[in-house]
Formats: sequence, C-alpha cells, structure tokens
Amino acid sequence: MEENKDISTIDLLISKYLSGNATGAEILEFMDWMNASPDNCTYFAQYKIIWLKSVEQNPISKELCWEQLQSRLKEREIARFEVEEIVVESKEKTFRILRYAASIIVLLAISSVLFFVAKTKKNINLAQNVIEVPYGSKTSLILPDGTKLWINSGTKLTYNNEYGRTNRNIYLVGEAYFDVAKNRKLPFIVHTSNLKIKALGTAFNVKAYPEEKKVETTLVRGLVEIEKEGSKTPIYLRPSQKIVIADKKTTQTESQATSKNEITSQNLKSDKTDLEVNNEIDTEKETCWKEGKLIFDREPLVSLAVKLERRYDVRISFENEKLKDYKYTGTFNDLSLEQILEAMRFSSPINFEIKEKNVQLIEKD
Amino acid sequence: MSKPDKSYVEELKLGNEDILHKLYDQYSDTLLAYAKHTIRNPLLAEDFVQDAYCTLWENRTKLNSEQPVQSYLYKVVHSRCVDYIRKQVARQNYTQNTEWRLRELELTQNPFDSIFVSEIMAQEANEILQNSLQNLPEQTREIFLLSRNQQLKNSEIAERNGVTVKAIEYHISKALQQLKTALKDFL
Repeated sequence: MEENKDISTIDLLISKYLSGNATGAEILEFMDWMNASPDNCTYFAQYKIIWLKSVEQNPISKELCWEQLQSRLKEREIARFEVEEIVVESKEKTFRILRYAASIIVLLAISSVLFFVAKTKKNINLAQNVIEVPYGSKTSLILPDGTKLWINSGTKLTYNNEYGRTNRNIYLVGEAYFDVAKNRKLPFIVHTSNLKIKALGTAFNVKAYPEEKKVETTLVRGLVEIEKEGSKTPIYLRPSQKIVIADKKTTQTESQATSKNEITSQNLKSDKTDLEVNNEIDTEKETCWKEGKLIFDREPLVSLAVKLERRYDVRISFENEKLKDYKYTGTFNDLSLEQILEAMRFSSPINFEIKEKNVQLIEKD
Repeated sequence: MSKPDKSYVEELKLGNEDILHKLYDQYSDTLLAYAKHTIRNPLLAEDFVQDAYCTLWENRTKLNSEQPVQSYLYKVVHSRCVDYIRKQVARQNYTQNTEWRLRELELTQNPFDSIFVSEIMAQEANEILQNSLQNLPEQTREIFLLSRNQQLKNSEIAERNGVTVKAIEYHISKALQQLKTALKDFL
C-alpha cells in the first residue's frame, strides 16, 4: 500500500508483533531477524520499552489493586508472626470439615460420569465429577487443591478430573461459597451461565439459581475478576462488595448487536443497566447459610419463602398477594422449619398451615 | 548521568508507606504491562506485580541505597515471569507462542535493567512520552491507544473505524516510531 512507504518493513513487523497482530509466519520472520544480530535485539528492546511504557491502566482497577496489595501486605505480616498457630488451627479445621463432608456424602448424589469429548479429534476421556445437592440439604468439601467449598441446597456443581492439575474450573448452577487455596499457576474460575469469575486466593460467595435470572457475587476477602459473556471489560470486586448481574440472554444479544459500532464507553453503559454494585454490605448475611443460619433483614416474604423452600425442601404458597410484600426481619440459628414458622407467627401478623410438604402462609385476622 | 535517587530507599527504610503508594502509582502500570506481555495471563501478571511490591516492602531494610527502587521491582517481576515460562516449557504445557516468548525474553533480557536508572530520568521520560502521545495526529493517536489500551485486534479497529487493516498497521507503526524518536535520549 502506498501510504506504508515511509515505514520500514521491520518497523511494521515489530509493531505487529508487539500489538499481537503478527501471524505465525510473521513471528518466525521476526525471530529470524532477532537471531541475526544483537543490534537487532537492542533495536527491538527499545520499541518494546515504548510499547510497555505507553500503556494506560484503568484507574479504577488500579485503585482496587492497590487496596488489595495493602491487605495482602497485612496478611503476609500476620502470617509471618503467627505461622505456628495457623498450622495447628488449620489442621483441626480441615479434620472437622472432612468429617462433616464424609457423613453427609452418603446422602448426596455424587456421580462420576465418564463422557467422551466427541468434538475433539483426539478421544480425550474426561471424567466429570458432578455434585448435586438436593433441596433440603447442604454440604461442604475440600477439593484436591485444598480449596474449601460450601454448597447450598438445590445446587449442581461440576468439575473434571484434571481439576488442580491443568485447570481449576468449576461450573455452578445454584449457590456455593468458595475459600480458594492459593495457586499462582492456575487461576480459579467459577463459570455460571453468563459469567466467568476468576480468583487467585480469595473467599467469595456466588449465587446463580437459574430461576432467579441473576447472578450475585459477594467478596469476603481478596480480589476477584468478573468477566461477563460478550463484554470486553472485566469488573473487579473488592471485599464487602456485592455485584448483581442480570442473566437476560435475550436482551444481551440485542445489546451486543447494537454496540458493535459504538464506542467502548457506550458499550459499558449498556452493560451497566443490568448490573448493580453494592458497597459495604454485610458479608455475614450473604454467607451465613453455610453455618446453617438464616438472616433476614427486611426481606420480602416472597424471597424469604424461596430460601425456606430450598433449605427445607417444601413448597410455600401465599393466601393473598399482599402477604408477598410483607417485610420480615429475624435471625435463625439452625432451626427446624416448624420452629422458624412458629417464631414468625409469634412476632408478625403471619399464620401458617403445613400439609406434608406444602406450607401456606396466611394473614392473621 | 544523574545519581540514583537515594531518598526513596531511605524513606522506605524508615517504614514510610506513602512512598510505597507513590511507587505503585508510578511504576505498576509498566510493570503490569511487562508481566502481561511476557506471560499472557492478566490475573497472574497482577499477582506478580503485587508480589514484587510486597517483597520490596518486606526487604526494605536490606535495600541497597545505590540501586534505584524501580529496578528492584522490575527485577522481581522479570524473574517471576521467567520462572513461570520456564516451568511451562519444562512441563511441556505450552504452545508455539510460549516458546517464542521465551526466546524473545532470552534475546532481550530485561529491557528495564539498563534504562531509567534514576527517579528524575524516569519522571522526565514519562512526561516526554505523555506529551508526545498528545502531539500525535488525532487519528494516529486514537488508533494507537485502541490497540494499546483496549487490546483490540487490528481487524477490529479497522472495522470500527471503517478503514483498511493496512492503514491500522501504518498508524500503529507510525505512533511507535514517533514516540521512539522523542525518547531517543533515554533509550
């Protein structure tokens, strides 16, 4: 092309290489040129410095990373002084969790299903570990890499037997709490229907029940990176933040189609309409389910009922629509369904009737 | 050549955390860009950079006042990246691209080792770089920054701006060339 005349072939090749646009053949050509003389290497190194130095970090993610760096420094400081204590404590904890997991594991439908990846030319056998926790129960377990999982009722979680070796991918439908073991080499990734949540050494809760049509991620400590399907800009979450992202497959394809010719900031805007970040939230409230606690803070009965349905494997109906909006506040420490309903009857204008697995909530006269 | 800046090291030795923040503001972008370019794993790259700052802080009493702090940071990030790539190659868990990147690393070493030796020079170079970026022709700057900061492929930028891929290649090369000329005294 005419206009490329004032740029030398090698400068063009270097800029393609640095910007990640060189083809295999071009990379080979570049490598040959580099091998030809040390002067060429120096010439390239100068371009490389320019390329690296002209980057501009997203100020928000930079700020988040600085905050994470500070908490990491503190963690490392504490770790140095309390190494012995921590070793003893973690051993005890692990033992307790293992015992708990072992007792409940029998109740679970844990199936190891062999399936063949037919699409790849090589016939790779990948054993999928599927953990399905039915309504009315929950469980916890430790994965091969030391990551601790708490899995809530009505959840299906899948990982393959390469987990911990070549990948740390978890596929989640439902709710789980992750306390991720540190591993520099393999990022830990939770996949939900429309998100990828990446972590290094952190603790976070993900709630992705398909019927709720949204995914909630709450970070307890560390840093996670959330990548939404079809979006180029990852979102970073800091401790005590919760992000709610709508899972609207249809609206998403629409926004993808229109944003194609728009600038990135507008693209971001269209993303923001179906996501919501909550700061300074009480992480205890989001993660208490793993201790068997239920915490309701001005929670509408309609969503409270969904939580009880999952937890106790019952169906809950309402006598009238008005009841659904009634807001209830209360904390229950590992109680039975009857005990909770009794407590609610005592402290609010709600009555109930239980017929086997069906509960009806009734407005008190 | 101006003298390496001793005061940063002295301040760090006194336990001044503000200096760490300042160093983070000034160098983390380039360190991160370096790690990302080398290992092509953004999350791990961030981890390496943070680790470098932690290591710097934890070893602050043992720092050599004659050596600029930023070259300490570059060294830590560089060695983490090299370890990572070597291990990938050793475990044969790599692609052709990994092998090329290792070769590139061996051939160029750590390019930051020899330059920006003093704090003053680094700041001056940054200012010149920013000014030169601003002085690029509008279209060239826009295309260069899309490639550099948004990591868009040339074909994507071409489609977006309604020009040919060749034109995109031209603008990116042109931008790099002009920036390099502007900074020639520092390289």
